[in-house]
Amino acid sequence: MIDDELKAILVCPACKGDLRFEETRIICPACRKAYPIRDGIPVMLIDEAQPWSPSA
Amino acid sequence: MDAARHQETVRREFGKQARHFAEAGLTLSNEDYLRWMVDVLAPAPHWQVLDVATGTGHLARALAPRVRRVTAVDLTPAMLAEGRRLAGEAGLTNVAFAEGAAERLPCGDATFDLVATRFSLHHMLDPRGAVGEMARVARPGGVVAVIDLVSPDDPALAARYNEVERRRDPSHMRALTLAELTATLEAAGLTISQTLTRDVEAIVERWLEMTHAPPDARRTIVEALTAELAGGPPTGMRPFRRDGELRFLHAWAILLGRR
Repeated sequence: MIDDELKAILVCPACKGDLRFEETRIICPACRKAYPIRDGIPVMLIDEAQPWSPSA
Repeated sequence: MDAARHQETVRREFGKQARHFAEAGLTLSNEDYLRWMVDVLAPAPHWQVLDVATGTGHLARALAPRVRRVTAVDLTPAMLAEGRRLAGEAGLTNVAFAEGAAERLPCGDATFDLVATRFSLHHMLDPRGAVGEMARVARPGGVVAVIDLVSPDDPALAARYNEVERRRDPSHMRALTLAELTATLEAAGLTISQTLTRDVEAIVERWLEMTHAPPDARRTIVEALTAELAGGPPTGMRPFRRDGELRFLHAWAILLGRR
């Protein structure tokens, strides 16, 4: 579980834009990327992000 | 060496070290040195802090009781997991961990009162890029702190020194000289407010054990240091013998830059 203070600090490492936090992943709508959350730790690495599309 | 391959090397080497890193008693994780670092950083209780390439969060956990909040970022999941466990064990509730690269920090501009990194720059392909990112996320008037090994000034000696470090730890890229460290902070637009250096005594066997250096690397390093003691070519490690043990002097520096 990612606490609110960490949510307030994290941005997308690629575009530095705002993120949308889901249960198991973190979405950057601008880059259309989904960053995984593994073992409760957000993985904010561009190489590890999955492609994401708004309809998904 | 390309960036992806180096990143893989860093993760592999630190994955091996994760458990060992947390053990007490090694010269390099000595409480006294951490206390020295924290005192130099002189944190204020309201500070929002970012620890870049935190490892198992040695500095993050040492700072946490003295500031409002610490965010700890590292490339290696095993290190972060161990850091979180130790933070929990210590009852710290104001440290958050995230996986991230120093050269691409997942944090907004002008966010932190202090952005620190400890013993990380010498692992990086692009230390200037990392310090540039650290400066970006520091608020105006905030402090960027770089704590790292320092290479000898003489280029030939620096090359030999870094070669020894790399044999011990393949994820070691290059320790910078004090002049290079200063230039790295200045290139990020920071104004140097303090520079401290310190020689730290290390016991060779323990130092080799920390990275689980392979036997042939251990042998080569011990031989080179022993040869230097016998009048052979200098390694830049400044070896000496005390209490029957082969030791050397590690040069550490803390540079503080104001944004």
